[in-house]
Amino acid sequence: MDFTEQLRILQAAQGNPALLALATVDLAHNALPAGERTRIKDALVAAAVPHWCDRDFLAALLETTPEEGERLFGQLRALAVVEPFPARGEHAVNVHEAARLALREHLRTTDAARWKALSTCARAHVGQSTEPTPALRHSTTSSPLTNPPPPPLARRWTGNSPMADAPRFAMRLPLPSGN
Amino acid sequence: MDAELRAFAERLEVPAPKPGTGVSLQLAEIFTSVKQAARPTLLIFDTFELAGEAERWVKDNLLLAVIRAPWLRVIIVGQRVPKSYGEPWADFSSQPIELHPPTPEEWFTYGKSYKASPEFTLEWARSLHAFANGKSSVIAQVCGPEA
Repeated sequence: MDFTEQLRILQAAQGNPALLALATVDLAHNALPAGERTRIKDALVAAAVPHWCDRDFLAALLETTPEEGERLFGQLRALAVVEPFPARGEHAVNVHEAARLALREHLRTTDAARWKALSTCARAHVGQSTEPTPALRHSTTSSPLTNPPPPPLARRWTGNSPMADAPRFAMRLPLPSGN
Repeated sequence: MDAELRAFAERLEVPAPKPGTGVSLQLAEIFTSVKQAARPTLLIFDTFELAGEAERWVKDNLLLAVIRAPWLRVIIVGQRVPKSYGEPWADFSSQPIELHPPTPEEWFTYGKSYKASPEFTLEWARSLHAFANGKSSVIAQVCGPEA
């Protein structure tokens, strides 16, 4: 893809955070046919509904085969908006929080039925697992259509910030002098 | 959180803490093991503003321990970090460094490592930055290594 085309794709998003996140699919997988990229975008939106997902979780959300779930999962991992989520296993990922929240809101406002279906599916999938209750709450931070604020457990120290674009500070403690 | 702390301990090559005992107790257990080893260790804590109960442990235990642990370095990152003024460990800390999202110029410098094309110019990086609203995850997709 030439550089002009890359700019055109981003310009078309008009600064909308959700559309910018979806545009990363076109940027990363530009060699794929449009239909395949649309499928990856659907997978990105689905992956943004729970807090995290893995290959099996993604396949459940998309109601597809494990094989296609694995393929789409691999394509999602090539996106910069998708990051490892080691707390749920070596192969778990999450959509970066800023993008995740934007994609959820985009879905909720543009396709409420899909939002509800994915939320219900996510809750059911986590409910089938053996995870303790906090993980369940963590994974379905918003009930369909009502969209309450996430519970405190979902805001704990997990390496994600709901205000990822806000100023951040770093402090370092160097070696004491003379040692 | 138990799983994250277990992974944290694994990376430090110390025994996993007892699960279900709370963040502070598990961190304390991990740190006890780290102290026994006394090997050069760097601890990085991100998103400190969401540390919750662990904030007190960091301030009251970990940072104090730095004074007597020359093998230990601590980096704390967040929208809010502990203030060193008046603290016993103040002499061992540097001033906070405010982090900013990368500028177009910085993205251009970064991207040159991956983009050999003459089309990749500073002007192009500025347009990219503008259209992406400065969002690092989007710009990194373009300026970083190929997927």
